[in-house]
Amino acid sequence: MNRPDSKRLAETVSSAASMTLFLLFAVCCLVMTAVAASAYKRINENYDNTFNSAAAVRYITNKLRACESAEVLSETELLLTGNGLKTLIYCRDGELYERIFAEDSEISETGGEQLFHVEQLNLTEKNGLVEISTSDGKGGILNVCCRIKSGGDENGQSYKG
Amino acid sequence: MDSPIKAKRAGTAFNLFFVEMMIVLLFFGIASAVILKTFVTADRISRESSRLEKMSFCAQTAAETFSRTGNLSETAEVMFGIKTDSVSEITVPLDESCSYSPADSDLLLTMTVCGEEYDGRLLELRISFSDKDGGVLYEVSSGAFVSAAFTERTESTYE
Repeated sequence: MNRPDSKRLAETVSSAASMTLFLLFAVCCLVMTAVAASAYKRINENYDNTFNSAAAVRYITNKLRACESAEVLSETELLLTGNGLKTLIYCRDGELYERIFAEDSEISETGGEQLFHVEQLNLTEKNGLVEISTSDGKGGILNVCCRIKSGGDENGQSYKG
Repeated sequence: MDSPIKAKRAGTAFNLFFVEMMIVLLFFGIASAVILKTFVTADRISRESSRLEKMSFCAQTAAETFSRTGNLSETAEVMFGIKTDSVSEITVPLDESCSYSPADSDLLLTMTVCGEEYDGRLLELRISFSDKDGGVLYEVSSGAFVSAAFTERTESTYE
């Protein structure tokens, strides 16, 4: 009389254990997916921020090296002259823009071509060096200095240390 | 006489499912460990890449400043605001973002004037980043042309 009851109990325990294992599997799957998604998101954000800031800084430094003369108009505006053209690089609303003008035309900060997403751009000129600083808005700041040709001659004698 | 119909044991199906789930969980655990390790490695590489980028920008700034100033002490003053009398080698403690950090440094920037040509008008600067253990993380060499007059002024200042 006792045997069928113990069988039923064994079946119930086995069933419950199987279901518990299945539940554990489902929970582990969910946790794993959440962790992987979070890590991927963080890596992607870090990559995007670094790429945008670094690309903007590299673009400006390359332009500075290629131009004949450069002038920092304000903290967010840089005017480059070369090959009979003027190039205005400026930052507005978290985006870096560039606009090319003929040498004799009036410069305006509208209608530029959008280049990169840069939360903040700071340009300062001191002793023939332009300091370019970009911020991604999340604490990531990149700084780099680049020589400009209008700040002195090619050999740097004009530096007043 | 034995009946050809055998009674089926009631617990067999559940036991098989139980064993199958155990095997599934075992493989899932192994796969999870591999995937987590991959993500941790990817995260570490991403951080190292970001740090390397900052070091390359810092090295570029050092090279550009040196080519403008022509000597190490002024380069250090312009870049980090520190004063030093050293003319051949300077070591600067930096944090993760390559800012000057004498108290809590993660990196060491070493700038060395390692050669000169054309009567001192071409100076070679070696810029090296190392960790606390002295392992080199990033190293680059650059050259800077300075005029004879500028070199004389620099030498007379630091002789």
